[in-house]
Amino acid sequence: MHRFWPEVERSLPQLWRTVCGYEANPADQQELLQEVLLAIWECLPRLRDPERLLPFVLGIAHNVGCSHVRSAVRRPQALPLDEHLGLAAPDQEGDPGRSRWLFEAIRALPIGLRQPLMLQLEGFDYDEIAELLGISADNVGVRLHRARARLKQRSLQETADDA
Amino acid sequence: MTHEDELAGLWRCELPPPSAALAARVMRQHRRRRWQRGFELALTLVAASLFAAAALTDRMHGEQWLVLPFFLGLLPVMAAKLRRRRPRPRDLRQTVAAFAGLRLIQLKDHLRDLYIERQAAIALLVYAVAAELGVCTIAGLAALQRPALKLLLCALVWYLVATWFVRRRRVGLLREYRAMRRLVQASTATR
Repeated sequence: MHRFWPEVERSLPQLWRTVCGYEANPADQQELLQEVLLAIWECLPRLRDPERLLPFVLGIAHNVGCSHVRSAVRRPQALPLDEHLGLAAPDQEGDPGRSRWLFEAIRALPIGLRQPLMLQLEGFDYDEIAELLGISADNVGVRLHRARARLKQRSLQETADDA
Repeated sequence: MTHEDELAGLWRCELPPPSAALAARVMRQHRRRRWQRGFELALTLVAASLFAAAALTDRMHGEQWLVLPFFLGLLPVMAAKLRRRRPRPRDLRQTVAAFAGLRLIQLKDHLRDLYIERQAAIALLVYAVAAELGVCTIAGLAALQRPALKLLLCALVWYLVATWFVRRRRVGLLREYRAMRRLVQASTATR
């Protein structure tokens, strides 16, 4: 076993969320996670800087994820009004229904907007996201702005549909 | 709490299901892939050595000459089919934009390979039909009638399997190709 493998296992929550951002079907999520872990296993001997393990594994996860062909339907179902983003009180954080809404909304975004948003939600800054995606920091800003605008638009649309 | 914090909170509340012996599962899968590659290599070497030995020792009979073009076409196609079209580890270490560009080129190649695989199956079927007609009706070689018939049946089965496989595989490859093209276009459009 590679000496950094325990560190990879500690990054499993981040890898799992990345996988969930690409695949909706629970069975396919497991399969995709396995694919990601196998790719990391094969790439791990080439890791130069152990301090950069998380960006390294997440970069691989995004590359495997974007080449994964989703089996689920692109358009997810809408949730009730009170579960919408931005309308709930802060103490409802952690609500699985709202979290599910977020993942469905993220999966509905084009990959080019989805990737920077997922990385930002993991806590990466613009420069780190730019380095991982191979684009400029300005471009990251543009994409994040568009991604957030789409999430808001979707939330408002669903609110209007339910009203 | 800001809007971003709320989104990040919702994002992070998604946790992976408990999974025991993760490393063991990954190692098992890694070993299985290596066995698969070894099997492909062994199969190719066995077939090549059988024909090479027969050709070198001058023991090639009419029957072997008859099926030789079939196997010469079949084996490379089989090898291409057995190999799954996964991204290579060295490509996966690239940035997402670079990976998308590389993957797009690979997918184009894979789609072209599928086309070649189908054409090869058609060519083998045409050859088998021609051999059957040539042996039975034109040359009237009784000794080769049975091998020619077997060849025709094999070519027919191979054609049906190849057609089914190519159709099924092409759908997935095209979907991935379109997704990658969109990603590359998005990278170049906003650069």
